[in-house]
Amino acid sequence: MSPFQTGKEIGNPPPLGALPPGGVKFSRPLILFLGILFAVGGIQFLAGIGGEQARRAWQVYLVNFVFFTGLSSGAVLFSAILTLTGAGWGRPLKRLAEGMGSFLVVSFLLFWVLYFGREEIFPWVREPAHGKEAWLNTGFLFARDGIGLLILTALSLWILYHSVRPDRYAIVLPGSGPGIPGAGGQVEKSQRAQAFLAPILAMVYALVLSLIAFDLIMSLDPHWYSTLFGAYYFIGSFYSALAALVLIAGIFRNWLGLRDFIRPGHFSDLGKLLLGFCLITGDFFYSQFLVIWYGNLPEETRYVILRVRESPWEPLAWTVLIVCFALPFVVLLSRKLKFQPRAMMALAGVILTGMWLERFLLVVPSTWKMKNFPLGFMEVLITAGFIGLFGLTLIGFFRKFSPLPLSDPMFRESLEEGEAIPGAGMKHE
Amino acid sequence: MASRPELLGIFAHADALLAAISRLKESGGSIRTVFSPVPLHGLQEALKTRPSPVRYGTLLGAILGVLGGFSLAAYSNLQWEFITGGKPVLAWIPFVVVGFEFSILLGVLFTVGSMLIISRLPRFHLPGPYDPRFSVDRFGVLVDCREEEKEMFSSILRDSGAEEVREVR
Amino acid sequence: MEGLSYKDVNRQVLRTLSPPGRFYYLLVGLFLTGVVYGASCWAYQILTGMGVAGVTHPVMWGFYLVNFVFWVGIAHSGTLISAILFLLRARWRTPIARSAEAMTVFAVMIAGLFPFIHLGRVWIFYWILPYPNQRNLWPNFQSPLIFDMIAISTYLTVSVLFWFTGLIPDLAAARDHSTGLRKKIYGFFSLGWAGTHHQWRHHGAAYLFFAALATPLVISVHSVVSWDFALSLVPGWHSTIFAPYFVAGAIHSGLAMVLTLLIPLRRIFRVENLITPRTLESIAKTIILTGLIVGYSYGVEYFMAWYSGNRVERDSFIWRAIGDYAPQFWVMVVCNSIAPLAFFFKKVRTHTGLLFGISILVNIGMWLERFVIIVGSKAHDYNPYSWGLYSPTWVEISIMLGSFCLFFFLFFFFVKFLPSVSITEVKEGLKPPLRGKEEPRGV
Repeated sequence: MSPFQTGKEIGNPPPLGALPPGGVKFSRPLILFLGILFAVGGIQFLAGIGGEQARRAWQVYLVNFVFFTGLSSGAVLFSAILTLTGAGWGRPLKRLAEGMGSFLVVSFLLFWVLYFGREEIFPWVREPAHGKEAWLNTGFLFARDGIGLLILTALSLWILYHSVRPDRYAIVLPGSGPGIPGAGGQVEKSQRAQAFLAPILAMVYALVLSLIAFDLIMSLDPHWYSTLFGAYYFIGSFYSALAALVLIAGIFRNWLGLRDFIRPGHFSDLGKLLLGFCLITGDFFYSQFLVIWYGNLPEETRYVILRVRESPWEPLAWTVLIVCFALPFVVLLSRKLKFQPRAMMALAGVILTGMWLERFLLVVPSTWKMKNFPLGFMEVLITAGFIGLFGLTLIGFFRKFSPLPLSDPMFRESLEEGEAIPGAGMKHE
Repeated sequence: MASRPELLGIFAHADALLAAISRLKESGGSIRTVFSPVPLHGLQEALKTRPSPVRYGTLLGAILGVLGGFSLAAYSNLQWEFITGGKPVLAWIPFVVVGFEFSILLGVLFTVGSMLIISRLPRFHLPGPYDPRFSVDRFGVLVDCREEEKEMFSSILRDSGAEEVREVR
Repeated sequence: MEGLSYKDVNRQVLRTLSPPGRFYYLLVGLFLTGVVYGASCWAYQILTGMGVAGVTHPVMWGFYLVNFVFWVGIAHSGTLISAILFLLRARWRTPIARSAEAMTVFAVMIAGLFPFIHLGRVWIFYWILPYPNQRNLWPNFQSPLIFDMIAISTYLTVSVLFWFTGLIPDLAAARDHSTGLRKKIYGFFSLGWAGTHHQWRHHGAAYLFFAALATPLVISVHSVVSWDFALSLVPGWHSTIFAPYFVAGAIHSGLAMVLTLLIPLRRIFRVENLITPRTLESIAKTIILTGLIVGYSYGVEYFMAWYSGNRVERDSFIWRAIGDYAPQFWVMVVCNSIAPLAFFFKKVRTHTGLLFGISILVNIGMWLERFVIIVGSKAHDYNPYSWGLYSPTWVEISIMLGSFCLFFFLFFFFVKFLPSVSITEVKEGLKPPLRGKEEPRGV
């Protein structure tokens, strides 16, 4: 089933000339399955918003929207960071991250659907928040968020374009066959474009995702505010993106033919990065929590007390704390475990579930005023719909484009480099 | 110090050193020490050493520190049970900071301690075979040998590219 | 750095330890004079009382606290460079790691002095320590000031040990290079290091764990310092973003200080081939990042002050921009967020003069940021009747001058007696001498 028929299991990577520039073939049953998930989710959503529990449908839609938008933006940021730092270790993962970023197009369209649920979601639509009407009104909010998401999406697509465009020159670069005149120059041009766009993307990421957090999550409780909230959201999104990258890398390694390119060492490196961002996200959570707890000001504590002291949210808060921070921290300390792709995939799945629940915990207690816990069949199906849509987007991307950054010079270098020179290099563990 | 003679081979090149080590091990030599000015990549693998046990010292220190920090904060608050600033007597949320800092402090102290103890530093005298060039650009291999093996090991060292081979007792 | 041999590195770095010239002694003498002057002003303050300082109602935290936060901030980038960049395997850190660690140690020492200076009755400083006593009195472990005490002392201990552990192999190299008394002293401090593979194995593991522990420590220390302010209820201080805001600001000012120190150092010691323009460029690029984070924080704070609808908060932030300390505010904004943007241009970040100039601007800007936050918030909080201004007295200014002189004095001392470039790590970053290839030619 693998298009990369190298004839070797583990060991030497295939010669550069053997890499086809096109995409991966995906099996029919998989596409069908994802399509069904999407259809079921979509139908459940449409039924939900038309029914009597419309708010449940809208709030879980918002949760999924912020989760997946943050995740895909974070994935593009990962690619930008690889470009910015010139890091060599993560090169094979670059295109996988960019593929996840292609979901931003879909999420931009999904954003506008929120307009129809605005009365259910945003309390200030029906009762304008005193003093904040200039900022929290439907027109201005949707305009600025729409423009922000448009800029973020456009910039991400531009980066994806420059990553993918030179691929067709890849198979004819020197060392693997006859050359096309100007091929090297084209690759060079796209590399420079990516280097130029990467810092801009990083800035836009921070600003737009902060705006989304303030507008779509923080405004759900218009009397509450926290200066760290935007940063907390975008750091948590990057953490989710890293976990998703582990999962996708593992899937491509095990079932889609990239076994020779994505090695256990990559999982170990991603694991270290994941540990770092687990700690950073945890630190941001604690900073916010400590300041609010210590100051004990009612306008700040209302949000936190609702989530950690009152039912039905208290158990969820503890679950999120353990699943997102405590458990991954302890698990990721083990050196051996980080080298095992399957274990890392399982952990990544756990982290993603935890972060989804965390977004749920941020959004839903502000919108759901009843005493029961609104996590049931409806939520599962709608979330499945989003997962199906995400999967279909990835398939759509990787059918056309190679899952490896074929034209990336550092990627090609890392393939050519054989054994490191004995004695050279920095201290490794 | 050693009752058996030891041969010291001094090398100017890293690949020669690694080649000599593998050949000596093949011939059954037991390598006592390898001197080098830098931690050579590939050296520890060639000598088949296990990961350093310093990690256990670090872990122990970190755990003791967390427990110690929380205990100290809790104990001191329990002495008078004041309510300060409306905060509860046992306020676990701020105590996290105390536990965390102590964890790092003890973790570091135990790391340094275990490193020194396991490496048997400080030493008041340098090992006999030590050559001051080992901190500049020369590598040294110190191998145990019996009288009859001396010739064989010497020739292995020389063939691998040793600049100098001498016997130390 | 290509084409260097191990011997060249030893020679070049150990050469910096040779007896200094007259200009060095002149500068050291100058700094020492400044230190003595500052110390005598402190003695005067202890004898006369805190009234000689400018702190009074409502601004009870003045220059001393501003300097405290400033110096802790400077310390942070040293640990960033030596620990965090080590974990990220960034090669450009290698030649500057040792000086950066030294900078950290000295900055933390000086930062640690300021709470004592601010204390007034310095002789009772030990009351803040948790020790059993006959009245069963203990410090309040819920107080951010106690967090400070624990965090700063931990940071000082860890930085010194980290610095020292990295120095051990280099001290051994210095020992082997020197004779007589110097050899004895270097020999003592190098603990008998012989470079055996056992020692390297444990040393390498310890260094890695140090770096892994120092990284969260760095972030927690400046978060703790920021919580001195954020855990209060003063408008302009009580804000959740303070922890990451201060950490980013600390790294920002620290990196600027690294540039300020290293650009002259590499010229004077002629180690331009070790501390390359690439290294300086990488520092400059990181400064762009931290400057943007600081700028983001300024923006979010202003937005949230408006969004909160809290009258006092809004007024406090408006006053910052147009009130009595407005000049300091605007210089701060320009120096911290706008000036570093020049580093986007390659011409600027490869020009040592501009690098040095902008680093000075950032240092000034970050010092002013602490002033604007600490003094500016206290001067204008809830009750209009209590509003008041603060201006420093000659005692505070002298002590501040003394602290800067102490820092440079210690740093100058360091560069002449200890290898200021990490010999071992630079050599590790080079290709080892191989028989199979051509011998690399020396510089």
